[in-house]
Amino acid sequence: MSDDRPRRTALWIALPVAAVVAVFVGIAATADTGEDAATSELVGGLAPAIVAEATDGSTFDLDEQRGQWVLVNVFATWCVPCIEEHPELVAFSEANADVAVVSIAFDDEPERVSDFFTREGGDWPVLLDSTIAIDWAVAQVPESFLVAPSGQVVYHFRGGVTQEGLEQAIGDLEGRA
Amino acid sequence: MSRLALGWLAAGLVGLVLFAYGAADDGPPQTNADRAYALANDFACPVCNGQSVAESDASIARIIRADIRQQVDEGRTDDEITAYLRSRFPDDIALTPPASGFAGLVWVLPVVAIVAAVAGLVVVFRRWSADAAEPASDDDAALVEAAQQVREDH
Repeated sequence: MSDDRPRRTALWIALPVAAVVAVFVGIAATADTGEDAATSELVGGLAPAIVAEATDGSTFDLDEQRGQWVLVNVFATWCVPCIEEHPELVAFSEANADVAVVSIAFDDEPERVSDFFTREGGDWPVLLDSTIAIDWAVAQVPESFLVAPSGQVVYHFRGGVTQEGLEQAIGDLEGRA
Repeated sequence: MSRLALGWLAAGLVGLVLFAYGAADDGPPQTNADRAYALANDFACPVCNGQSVAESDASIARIIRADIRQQVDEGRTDDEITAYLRSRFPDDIALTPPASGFAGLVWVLPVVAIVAAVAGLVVVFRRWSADAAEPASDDDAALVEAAQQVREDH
């Protein structure tokens, strides 16, 4: 009997350790990933307010856009995918005058943003207040959101957009929004 | 109380004092900048591995730092700022796990594990002490006598 004692002691030590490890693995395995949570947080809900000064000195208020589709684009001039998507945004804006586009600069310099739009085109409001990105739960750029005429966020694009992708998304959602 | 028990008691007290000293709160931050820095240290940079918002140089970390500072200057409380950031980003942004729910077990389990380990050690040591105090059997006495005989013969 006494020969079994070390084995039993080891078992009593191993069991609680195994239980603690199992619980920690369970916590890690069931935790939400940032991607899912960020997407589900906004889509389907009312769009976070945006009231900010644009680079042209005007004040942009998202609430004043109610009744029409709005594309909210978060970008930076130092971000290569943002540079790549820009011609698509310009083409989309020119082909869809009934959709308002607004860009939010993400951790960028005002002069660089102005130079970028002068050089690459795009005549929609550009906002310099990066903290708006937090309201929209944007951690990396580019990201874009479609806001329906009702004011609800109905689509979230993670990464660069294309004219075709935007038009298709609005076409698909128009019946439901 | 035996000297051994007194020694253990003294060691336990020293450990307790050191633990309390290490865990002691330094008091609330003095300035808005201190408060903003302390808050930034409580959040993980959403796009980094293991860096807090205060430590990271990622764009989003810079933006969150600026936002925290702005909210502190506007007079919002730490709880309000924490609630806002947690509502915007996943729970993973908080470096301090929540005290409730399944994740709250991370606060409880280490304490339970330590208490269980100490209790286990106490039980094992007491058993060993009890074993050592058992009187020698006739076989043991015969063995000792034989060994002494061998020693005397040499």
